[in-house]
Amino acid sequence: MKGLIVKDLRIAWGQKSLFVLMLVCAIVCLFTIKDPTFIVGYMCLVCASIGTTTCAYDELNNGMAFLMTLPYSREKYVIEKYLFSISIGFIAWVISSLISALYVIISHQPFDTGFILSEVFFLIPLLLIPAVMIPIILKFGSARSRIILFIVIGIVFALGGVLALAGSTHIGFANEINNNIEIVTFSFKSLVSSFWIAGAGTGISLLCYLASMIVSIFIMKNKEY
Amino acid sequence: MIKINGLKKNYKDFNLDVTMELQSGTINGLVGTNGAGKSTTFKAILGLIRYKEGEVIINGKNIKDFTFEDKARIGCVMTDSFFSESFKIKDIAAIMKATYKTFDEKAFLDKCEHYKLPKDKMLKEFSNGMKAKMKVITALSYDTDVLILDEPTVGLDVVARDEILDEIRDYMEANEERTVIISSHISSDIEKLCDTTYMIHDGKIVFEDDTYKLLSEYAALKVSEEEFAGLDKTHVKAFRKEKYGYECLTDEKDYYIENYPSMVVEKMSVDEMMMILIKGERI
Repeated sequence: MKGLIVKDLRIAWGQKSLFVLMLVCAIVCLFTIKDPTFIVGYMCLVCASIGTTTCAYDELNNGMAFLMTLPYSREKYVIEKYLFSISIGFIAWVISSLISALYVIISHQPFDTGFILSEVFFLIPLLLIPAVMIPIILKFGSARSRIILFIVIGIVFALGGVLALAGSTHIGFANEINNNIEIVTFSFKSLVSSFWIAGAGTGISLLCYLASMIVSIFIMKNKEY
Repeated sequence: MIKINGLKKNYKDFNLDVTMELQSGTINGLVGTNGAGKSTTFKAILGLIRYKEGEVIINGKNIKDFTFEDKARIGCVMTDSFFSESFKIKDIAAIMKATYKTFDEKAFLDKCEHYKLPKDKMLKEFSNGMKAKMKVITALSYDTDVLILDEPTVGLDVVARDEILDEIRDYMEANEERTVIISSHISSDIEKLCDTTYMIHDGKIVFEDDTYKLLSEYAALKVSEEEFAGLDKTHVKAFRKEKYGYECLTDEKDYYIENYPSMVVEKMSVDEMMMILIKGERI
């Protein structure tokens, strides 16, 4: 697996100037927006997609066929992608959290559990983004996966929009669903502390991450080049 | 040794049905027209496609049971696939070093320098010829038992082609138990390099023989219709209609020179043999 990791690190290193630029932008935004959590969210979103970027690079110029002739099994290829994604994302999360914490200390903002929890919440997209993206890219290729992602995001936003507007409509079942969601969310918040929500969210995301890896292994094992 | 036993792969409009046995210590050429099944055969050997029937056995082991160590003993060049073109030579060296225990980094970099491959440029900035050289140098940079070369000389000029063929010869001389299979559209490459030539057409091996025999004993008999009617066809493999009569492919040219002294008997290239075998009628 070492060769695959070296390959992905080299791909990521090739984009170093882009990452530095993004980090600088994030730091500038941190001082202009004055929201310490912004940099964590921004860096997590960017770095969570690095693993998927390496998938796209592997695929360029029909490169996957050659990669599959290297002495790694398809299973190891997938496992490496997930390990690489989570490692890069986690490093980005730690660095951005430290910068964020430093900013909180410098600007004399409260360094409380609320701040820590908001940082922890960003582990959820860090896990979910590659969990969704990697199997889609492996199955459909980077070009078609963009279209599929647009459709998926479109559907999610459309559903969200419908539910958000449901309260102002007079459609019975839409009203009912919206009310039920609000009741469940409110009851959940009143029963469980934010700490447990963050923990459970991260745990569920981790399970999704592992499930996604199994799906990706299945996709890869059935692919032909 | 590479054994392909009754390998069958079905696509919508193409069916591959191949059986081959490539002996250790030999260089084997696979020739055929575009879409004949050369690349599909290579992909099957490399485990890139799935198949329901048949098996591929390399050095006594089914490729489906291959471990990391077994796979690391195979080198390959694919005509349309390689590392990401955003890599430079140093990136490829680093990946190969991390992948293959037997990778000889110094020899690899020396070869890159010998072939004047630019170290500071990305592969996408390489010419087609440079890319072809890079692929072969990479495949030869670590110790392998089997080398699978799909069109390795495509895009190369005559001089560069000759150098690459020399590299393959050196590879074989270093260990005579190795097995090489190579496909090429340039029949002179096959004639110069290969011990055995296989011809594939419509997914089937239609012909195989020793290359030296093809070049020394095979010939074209150019005969009129009357001569063709009275011709002893025992040693005729295939024939096709021509304006003057018939062109026949024989594997015993001396027999016809002795018994038909007035007959036109001409040497043939592998390409010409392929034309008769594919476009003509086989006996």
